[in-house]
Amino acid sequence: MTTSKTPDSITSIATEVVLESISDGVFTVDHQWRITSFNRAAEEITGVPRDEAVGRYCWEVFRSNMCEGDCALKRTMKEGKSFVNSSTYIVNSDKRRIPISVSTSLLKSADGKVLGGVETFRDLSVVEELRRELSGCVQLGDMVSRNRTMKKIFSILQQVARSDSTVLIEGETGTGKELLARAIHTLSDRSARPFVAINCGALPDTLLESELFGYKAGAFTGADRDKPGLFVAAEGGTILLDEMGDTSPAFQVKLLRVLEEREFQPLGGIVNVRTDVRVIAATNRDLSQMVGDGMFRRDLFYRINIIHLHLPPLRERREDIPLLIERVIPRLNRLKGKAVSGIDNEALALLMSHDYPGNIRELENIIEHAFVLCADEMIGVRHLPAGIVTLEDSRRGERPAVTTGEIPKLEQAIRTTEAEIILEALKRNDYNRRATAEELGMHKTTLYRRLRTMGIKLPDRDGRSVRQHLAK
Amino acid sequence: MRVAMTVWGDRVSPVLDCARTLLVVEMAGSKVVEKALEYVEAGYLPGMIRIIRKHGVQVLICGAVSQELANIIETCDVELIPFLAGDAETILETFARGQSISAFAMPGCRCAGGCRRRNDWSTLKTSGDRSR
Repeated sequence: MTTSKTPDSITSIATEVVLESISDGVFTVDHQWRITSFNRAAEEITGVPRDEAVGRYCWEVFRSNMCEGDCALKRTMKEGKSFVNSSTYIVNSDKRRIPISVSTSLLKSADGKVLGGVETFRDLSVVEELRRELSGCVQLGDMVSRNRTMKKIFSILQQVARSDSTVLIEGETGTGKELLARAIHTLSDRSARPFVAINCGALPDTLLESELFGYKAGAFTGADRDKPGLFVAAEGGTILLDEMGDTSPAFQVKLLRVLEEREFQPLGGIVNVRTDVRVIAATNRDLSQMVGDGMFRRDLFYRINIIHLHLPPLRERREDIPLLIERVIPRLNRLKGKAVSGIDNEALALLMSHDYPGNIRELENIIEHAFVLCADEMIGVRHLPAGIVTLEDSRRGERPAVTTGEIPKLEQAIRTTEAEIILEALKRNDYNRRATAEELGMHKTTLYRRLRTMGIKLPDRDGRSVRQHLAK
Repeated sequence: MRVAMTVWGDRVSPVLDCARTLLVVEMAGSKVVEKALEYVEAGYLPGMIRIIRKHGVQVLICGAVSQELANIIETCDVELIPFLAGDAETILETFARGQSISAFAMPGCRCAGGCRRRNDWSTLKTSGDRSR
């Protein structure tokens, strides 16, 4: 350890050796807050070499969140008291926040004269990491996850929420886009005002416009009185425009105007209405790709893509499946008046290996299905939907589940082969029923009938996007 | 050009993540022609972003910054010049004159990847057109 002036004594040498060998960072400052010594661990934790640290102001080296405000060393120097284990963080040279605990005391000479202050600090990164690992998950509103990507989203959500900027949430159907939008609203300064959600893809243009912007009496046949739209209903709050990728170019122009001008005109109205609503857009499609393909307006995309959050599909966060099941079961116990305590290993293994095209919504539906059949304490494979079991068996190269009595071997073999062919075709066509039926050379209703007969349950997934793609 | 700097008294604030004061200056030619002080809640980045947007700030000079916050600020189309320390006025005047401000780098940051990756200190000058 380098000191500005060290007494030439054995004690001093011993102190230096000890300070160099410990894993806690230690530095000392003089009365002008300039660093006079800086040990090896301090170099490692802050990322600042000793020769650059010594002589500099402590806040330029230490870079803690308490430097500007409640500095422990400043209090020690002022009050003459030591402080132990204050928790804080520093920002090191690699832009990483390092959680630390800090202890401070006065630095005195042998005759009791105050020479300055001493600060020791301990890197708590590993402790924090272990604590997180033990707690296992991060929860935000109704969302919970152990997944790294999800935790990243959770970590910035508070700042995103309070920014008031337009947010674009992308993610497959059932990944929790609306839950995330609600969490943003709840954490924002608008939380006391309404949160309104609308599925833009489900409504034709005129209906969507009247729902969003409202209409005036006489605007169209049957409009016998004024009706305020959802932008009015959400005044001061947040509106979620779901399935933005499914809106028409004409509607996109109108929405762009609302976002830019912060005002709109109700159908049949002549006066513009000012609006103060935060817009969150959500889609299960790749909007940047759609912009490239000319299917979505570039200017609107840039207007809504200020903060972009992408929710990973459940198959990319399988570690969350047991956690999600753990949370669904108590809720369903309350709703259904049951006392299911969990899921057995075999059933869990089956659910862990499923791909979930319908994501969390599909998982919840599967558990709800199991609840209906489960009269026991534990959910087992026999309680899971036949489609899941069949799909997984098929993937493993096994025969689909047979649910009806004794079936002659030849007939069973035919059914097995047929089921495999249909399942493979469904997978190739992204579970689009019409495309699958066309490929197999059968009518769509025939395909449905076969699926029903074989007990194959399809994921709750909208194939329209695939159809549109095929049509293009 | 509008330049903002997080300040603490008359010096650069040590950590952007918990800065409380923003000095916004207008630079014309090689001089600082206008100054305004804005106050934000410590650690409340959205408040800072609102001020940055209100003043049309193009460059933000600051002390240490965490990667998460640096990413958010950069999405606001603001050029971030982090890990600087020293007298605020001197740094701003040096910057306005188009001279290198590498001498004001925080200790440990001249060669550190974290602060040099985006900003080559030797190029941190106002020479040339910075308008967007």
